[in-house]
Amino acid sequence: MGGGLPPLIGAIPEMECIPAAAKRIARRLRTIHENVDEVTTWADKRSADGAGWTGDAAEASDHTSTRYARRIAATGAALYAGIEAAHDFESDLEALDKERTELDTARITLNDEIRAAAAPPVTAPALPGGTLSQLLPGGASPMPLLLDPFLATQLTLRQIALSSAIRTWGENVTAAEERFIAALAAVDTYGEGAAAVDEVEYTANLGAHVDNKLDDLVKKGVLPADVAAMTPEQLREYLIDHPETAALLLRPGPTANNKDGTLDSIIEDAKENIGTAQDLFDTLSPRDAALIALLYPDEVGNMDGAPFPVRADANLVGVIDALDRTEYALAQDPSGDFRTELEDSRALYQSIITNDRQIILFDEGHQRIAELHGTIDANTKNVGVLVPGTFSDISNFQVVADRSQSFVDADYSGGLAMISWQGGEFPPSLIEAASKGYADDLAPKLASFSEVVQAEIDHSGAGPDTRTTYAGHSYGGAVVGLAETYGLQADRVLHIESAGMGQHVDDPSDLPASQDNVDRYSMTDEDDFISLVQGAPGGHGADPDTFDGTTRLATGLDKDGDPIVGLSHSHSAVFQEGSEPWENMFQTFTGGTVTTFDPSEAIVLKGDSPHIDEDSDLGKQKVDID
Amino acid sequence: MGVTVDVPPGVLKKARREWDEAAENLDGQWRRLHRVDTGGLSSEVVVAFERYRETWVDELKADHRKAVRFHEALEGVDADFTVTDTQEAERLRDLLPWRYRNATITDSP
Repeated sequence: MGGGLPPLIGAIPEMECIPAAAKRIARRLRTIHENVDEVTTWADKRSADGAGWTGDAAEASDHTSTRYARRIAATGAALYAGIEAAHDFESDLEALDKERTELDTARITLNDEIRAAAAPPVTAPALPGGTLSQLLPGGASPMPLLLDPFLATQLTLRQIALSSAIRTWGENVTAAEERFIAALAAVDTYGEGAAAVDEVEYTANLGAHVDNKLDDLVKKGVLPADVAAMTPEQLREYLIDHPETAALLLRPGPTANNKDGTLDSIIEDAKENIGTAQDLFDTLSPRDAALIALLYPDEVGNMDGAPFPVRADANLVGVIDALDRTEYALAQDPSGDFRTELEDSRALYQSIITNDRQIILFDEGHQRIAELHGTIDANTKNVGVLVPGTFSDISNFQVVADRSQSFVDADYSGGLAMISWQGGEFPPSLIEAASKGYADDLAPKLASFSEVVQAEIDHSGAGPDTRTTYAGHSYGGAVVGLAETYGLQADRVLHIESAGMGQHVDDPSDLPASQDNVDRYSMTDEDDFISLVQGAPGGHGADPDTFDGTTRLATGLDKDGDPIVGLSHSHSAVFQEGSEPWENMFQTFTGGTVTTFDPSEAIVLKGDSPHIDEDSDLGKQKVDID
Repeated sequence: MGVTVDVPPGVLKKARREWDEAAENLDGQWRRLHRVDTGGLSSEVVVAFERYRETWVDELKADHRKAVRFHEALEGVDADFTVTDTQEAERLRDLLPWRYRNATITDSP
């Protein structure tokens, strides 16, 4: 940027393909497809009912009709694929056309500003021999006598950004055309059309299998006769009012245990791996996906690769059932802590049902639960996963859920989604928190769950720049740390009042190569008793605050700017909304700017005796997270 | 080895008519596909669409021709049956008393 003005941006080329053309093709193909489909249906029906022929003639007629129906179905499938491709192309072109208009408006505005900056600030007196332009070589525009260098730089930067956006737009136009061409090329031979038939039939058959399943459950009296006319939303409401039906769907006894065989095996296959489940739910219509979730709650609720909203639909059935059993237990008039736990669980389940909360993992028997706060979609920029610590179970899940929700509520951009994860049993006491057994069980599950979260992000349309942060509080820190040894798929890891980096994780060389690019942050309040055990021999691995490469964050002040104090209080007071540590967590989850720990304020509890580290003079610093 | 052909005349006629309708329908569809306007598209897209269209126009034409052949075959069989039935009926009429010599022989519905 040498201080000169940038060149004007030339006209943006018109799009060669226009949305109306794609729309016209889709409409024409649809008409042709409907007519061809009529012939296919007729030929299929002839072969199915024999068309009134008997004997050898019937066999010949049936054979002819079947072959003819199959032959012409290939054309139908190719036409259908063409319709879908043209529709997609039309949508792409409409969006690109809109973008072009916006870019062109921005271009005209910027060019006007560049011209204005280039114009002489005052009207120049007439020159002998003509205007200034006429006197300049080649009739070039005159440069102002006094050019504001700041304005010139600003205009240059905008010109570069806009030129880049226009280039990207042009590339997107080409990409849209290439997608359409590829979609047509995929069905431009008879063989490809015939292959497409199988795909279309598979999709159609899935819907039929769902309907068969519904019919079967109606026949057995599990579901009401009018279920066929219900929307998935109405069926959900019905199950809320009829928990006994929810129980039957979860645990089908001899009465309801006659599932549609094909659908049953398709769902079993989908449980095998993430990709198979994603393919299944990509194929299903939204209605069929929601119905499968409600009719197969036990299978779909925790199915890796099933979209999170579908998992939430399925787990609602589990929660309805759990609420019913909890109310039954409370009706037995229990006392003491057990009663309190049941009441807390009941409040949680009621809140989930009433507020349509998204429970993406639920297994009451094994104390497994996870909730998605916000949504993971094309607008998502960051996904945070918060793992709580000792004492966590389903009855107090609301605590971690509220903490996660506070971060989502604070993010006005809507780009942050949080997940509260309690994927198993946590130590029920401080004595048991010394045990590594719970972390041994939880860590591989968390690592596996991180793969599912990444798959959901990748499949949701969120861009490749979406970042994940795994944060563990207290014992949860040791779980997150140990999960790294299992290849936790994280961009950032945050230890909050953490018990340690995980068993046998003493320095970065103890972590697999997959963790090389993970950014690590840690915060421990000076007063927190946990600093006594961090890095202790035989404990939960290295001290996260001093682990090589970790950025230690400030924790000192509450929301009013007063120090957070108290051996026990400070352990959880860091979650006070608006406090310095809460703000640091929020900035870590959203990839913002964190405030680092000031060693000069440190009361060092580790070592011989508590003391203030007065040697340090680094002070707090602001650090941008990538 | 004998082949049993047991087709009620009404069924044969219905099948003949339906194949005729299918042929006519498909004849209209290949023409419609052939006429799809590609204006407003880039030359690369037009080339891809024409390749796609050519395949399925040809296929629809072939399906149309097949339907026509089935229709014509059934028409032929129907005509043969009618001729055979008429000949048999005439032979039967010859065996009947004189007063039936001008009895009308009609095709079944």
